[in-house]
Amino acid sequence: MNLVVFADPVTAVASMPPVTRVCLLNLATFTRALITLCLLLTVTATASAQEAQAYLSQSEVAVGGQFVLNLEISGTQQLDEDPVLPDLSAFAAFVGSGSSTSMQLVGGRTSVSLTIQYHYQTTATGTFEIGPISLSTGGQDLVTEPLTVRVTDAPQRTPRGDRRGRNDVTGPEDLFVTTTVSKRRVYVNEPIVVEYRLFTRVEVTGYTVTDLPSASGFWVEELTPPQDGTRQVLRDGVRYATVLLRRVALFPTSTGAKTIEPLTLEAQVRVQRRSRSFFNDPFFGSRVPVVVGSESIELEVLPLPPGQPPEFTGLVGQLEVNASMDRTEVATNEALTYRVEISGTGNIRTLTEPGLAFPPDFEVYPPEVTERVESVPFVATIQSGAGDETAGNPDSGIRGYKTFEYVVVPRAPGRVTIPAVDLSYFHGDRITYAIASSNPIAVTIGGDPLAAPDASPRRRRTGLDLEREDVRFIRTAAHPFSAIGASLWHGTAFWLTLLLPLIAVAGAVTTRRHRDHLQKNVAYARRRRASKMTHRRLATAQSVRSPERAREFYTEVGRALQGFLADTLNLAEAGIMRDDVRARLVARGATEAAVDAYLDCLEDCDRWRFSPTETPAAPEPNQTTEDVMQQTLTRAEEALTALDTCIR
Amino acid sequence: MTSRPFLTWIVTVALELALVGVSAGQSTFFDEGNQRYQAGDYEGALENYALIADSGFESGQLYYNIGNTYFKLGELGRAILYYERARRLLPGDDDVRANLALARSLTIDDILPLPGFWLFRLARWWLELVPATALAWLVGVAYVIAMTTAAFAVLRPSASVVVWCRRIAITSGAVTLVFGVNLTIRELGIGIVDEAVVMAGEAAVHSAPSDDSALTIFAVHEGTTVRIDRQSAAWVEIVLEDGKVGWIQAIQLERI
Repeated sequence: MNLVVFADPVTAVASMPPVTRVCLLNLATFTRALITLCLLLTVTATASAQEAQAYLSQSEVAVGGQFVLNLEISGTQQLDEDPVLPDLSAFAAFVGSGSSTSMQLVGGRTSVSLTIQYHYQTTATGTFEIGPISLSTGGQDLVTEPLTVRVTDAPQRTPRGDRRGRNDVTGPEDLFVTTTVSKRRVYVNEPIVVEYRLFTRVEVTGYTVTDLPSASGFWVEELTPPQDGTRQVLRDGVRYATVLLRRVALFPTSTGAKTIEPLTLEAQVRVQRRSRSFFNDPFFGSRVPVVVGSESIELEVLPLPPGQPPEFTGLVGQLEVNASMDRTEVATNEALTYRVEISGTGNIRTLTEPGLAFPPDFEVYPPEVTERVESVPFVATIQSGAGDETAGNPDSGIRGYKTFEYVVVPRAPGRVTIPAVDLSYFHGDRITYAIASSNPIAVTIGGDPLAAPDASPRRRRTGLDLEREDVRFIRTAAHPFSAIGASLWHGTAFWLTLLLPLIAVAGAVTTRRHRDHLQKNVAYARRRRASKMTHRRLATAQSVRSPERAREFYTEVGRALQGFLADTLNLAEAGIMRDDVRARLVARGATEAAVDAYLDCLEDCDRWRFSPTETPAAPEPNQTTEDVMQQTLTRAEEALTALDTCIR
Repeated sequence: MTSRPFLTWIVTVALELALVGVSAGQSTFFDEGNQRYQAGDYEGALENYALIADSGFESGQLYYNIGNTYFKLGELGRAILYYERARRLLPGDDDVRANLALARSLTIDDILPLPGFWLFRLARWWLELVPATALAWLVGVAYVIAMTTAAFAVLRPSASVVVWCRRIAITSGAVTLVFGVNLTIRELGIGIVDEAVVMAGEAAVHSAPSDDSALTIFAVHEGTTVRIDRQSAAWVEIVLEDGKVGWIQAIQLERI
């Protein structure tokens, strides 16, 4: 008796829709007797040889990839209750399960076994232990050995031939992901457009990208269109459905070898059950998750050659600059719009404001910047055959537009030219530095600058920023140099300045003391003054010596005589008494004769001063009045001289 | 015999006139140096400036320009040295201060100075308030005015004039006294500390005047200004602004 029974697992029956289950039960009744007999036979025969074994589909799996935990229980085809699975939520998510039973008759012995497959998708990297699984069957408790699984970082590189081994649903030619790059040898900052496409000739109901490649070392410009439908293409003579998964432009930021990492996705593939079941019905087709990944691509990033022009923007690609002005004739203080449009294939987003040289009379407001990057799709590469994954199409890919819109207000009339805008870039294909230039624009500004001062917005006041630090400028005025180590005291000027005022002060002090002496000692002063005054009065008298002015003459002579006395004796002129005078003069050492001569002379003068007759009578007949007067004067002088000589 | 002092004076005046003539020669060197500096020929400018200094003349402006030239040549230590020398001659000069501050900000050593006693800072501020030449002029003029008005007051021409003369004499006499003290302190160099600038790129400071590298306690770098305390044959004891003390080889320093 050679009987092999393939039976659908209990779990599968339970999960089926009710209609299906009824149908199945009806069929089951058909052969109930036979199966019951067989089961009884086998159960009794192998009841003593029950054992459970757990194993993995692969011991190493990439993160995001799937693995299958198989639980094989020999000696039975049904379990009392569901096995207790260890908690794998730390690194894997449960995807689904399936089971199969087998019965073999080898060497007269039947062996039955039940295998349950648990599908998991890994979520974290590392080495993990899957704990023992405990289950019970036929009143017997079984425990499996623990297992170890290693979840690696990089998506698993599986050779194409291996795909069939990994899942038996699709082949490598049925479902795959391609990576297309525009270039493999690029310069730093030169764009590379990368496209990931899914090709399939099986029915895929949906997919999720499980592993998006990271782009370290690149500036990424996302170009994936939001809606890009499925297309039918012919590839290597086979009709495929293809869908664009992702399109990016990558700008390498450093030189050296780079890797474009693969993209991994999980596709839900609708499959039809193989004919090993009773129920070979297309209705039972089910969805099976299939993980596919693209291959990684190596790139070589070259450094930019030396000899960069000073105005180099860092842009690699092709560039065009256009400048325009909304009007070329405008009145003073009226706003103009100046547009600089830069377009090209470089990394246009990193482009900074171009250096513009507006005339100084122009007030320039900060520009309004708009930018737009669009992609040029690789239509050709989809259909191309063998070289598909690296198809080079340098012109297509990415194109960017950046616009700087300046509002400028000319503040003075005149004709001015706004110079051209020059942008230097590296031409990736010609391998040279090139310059893109706009045209200079001439503008005529008319009108009176003061016509509408109120209408113009005020210039904003801003602070000044130090662009760089530098020392202040040198001194250019030649100052007098001094000998090294020279001191102030060594100069003549110092001593002159010090001593001359001292001498001046000393002189002033001497003068002052002298004057003080004069003022304090009135007698001394009078004596010094006496002869001077006397002489002056006598001189006056001499000048009026005429008979007509006799009285005046005698007055002067008298005063001279009295004044001398007063000064010499330090007396008031008015209070001089004759006897008193004599005594005082004698006491000062005057001789009697001199005193007599003096007093006689004074008396004569007084007499003639106050006499009623106009002229003094001449004592002798041959004398004139004038002679008398001269005589008096001579006498007075003699008397004074005599007194002066003998008085101390 | 009486003609001897007069003769000496004549000789002195003649010598000074001759010196003025030489000084005019220095001015042409100076102008030429300035032109070379403006043309960017810093080496040439330095040569010209050095000619003046080598002939035994100095001025704050000269040292300032030399400092600038060394700064442009990238010799930070020498730039700071000459700015310091310029500052001694032009203590209150704004440009010198600014450039010295800039040069110091570029040195490696960032030394946090100890807070000084406020009275010393005040005295230093006062001493450096007026540039030397202006101070000398101020004191000289005030002295002459004080003496002249005093002489007038003594002569006493009239009562009201005397009052005014006395007021002027007292005011300018006070100015003379106050600034004269300042001038005297500066001319005699009282209170000027002996300072030096580190010329070596990095100089090890030892705890004793010995070559033993085990004695190294810290390192100072080019451009740091230090105070000199004691000196032995080839070693100098320095005091940093933050109070650190150590010995350094004399050739690694340049005195201000």
